[in-house]
Amino acid sequence: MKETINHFKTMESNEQAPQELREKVMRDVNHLQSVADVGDLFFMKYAETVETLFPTDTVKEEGKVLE
Amino acid sequence: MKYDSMQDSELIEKINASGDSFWFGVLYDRHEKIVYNKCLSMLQNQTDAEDVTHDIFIKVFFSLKQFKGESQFKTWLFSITYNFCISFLRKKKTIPVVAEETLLDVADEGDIEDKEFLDIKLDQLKWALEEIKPDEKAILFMKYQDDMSLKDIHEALDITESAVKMRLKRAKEKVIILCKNNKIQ
Repeated sequence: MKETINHFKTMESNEQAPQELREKVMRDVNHLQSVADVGDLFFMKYAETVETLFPTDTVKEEGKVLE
Repeated sequence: MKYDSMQDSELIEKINASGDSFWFGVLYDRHEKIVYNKCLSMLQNQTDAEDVTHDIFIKVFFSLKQFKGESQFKTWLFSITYNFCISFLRKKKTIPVVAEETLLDVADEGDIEDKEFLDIKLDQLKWALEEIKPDEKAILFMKYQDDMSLKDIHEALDITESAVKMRLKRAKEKVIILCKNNKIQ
């Protein structure tokens, strides 16, 4: 009886990705991470800093402002 | 290798906790080859495969916090890989109308036997896979190349299991009919 070959398995490639690709991915990850960190610092921490400088009633009530 | 004993989930915890790209490098080394080769199979072009592999790993790095560990990391990674390839092919390719028109003549004859489908010659199969829609090609690769279960495919493509069955059937039908009608036999 003729055996059925799964040609999808035959089509599967088995190549090594180029080393430059790894370098590019890691470089871009580090770069984008830095951009995200700066964004985070500005958008998340900025509001908090401004709030401590110009406290609202809520912040005062919560005792977050140092006398 | 030094970090072979570490599970993917441990690496992901480290990346999420520290944001340290060193651990992401370890995760990258572990899965780069499979992602790159999947892209090569889907896109049939080395430059495109490199570009899409790059974009996939950038996406993975910034989405790791969303990975809840409900499925295996590999299944989650395949989901991103296939969706990126489908999206890339949709933007790049003009899908031939012939495949849709041909299908209109097909009567619903129930499930297609895998044997009939797998008996198609390699050259014909390769040609037909370039003629069908990218999501149909992807679902056939998931089933017949990656041996993914219906559940894994349904999670990867975010469609119901019955939709997976229907799409698989339609994709196989298209390939069979295209190959039957193909003059280059």
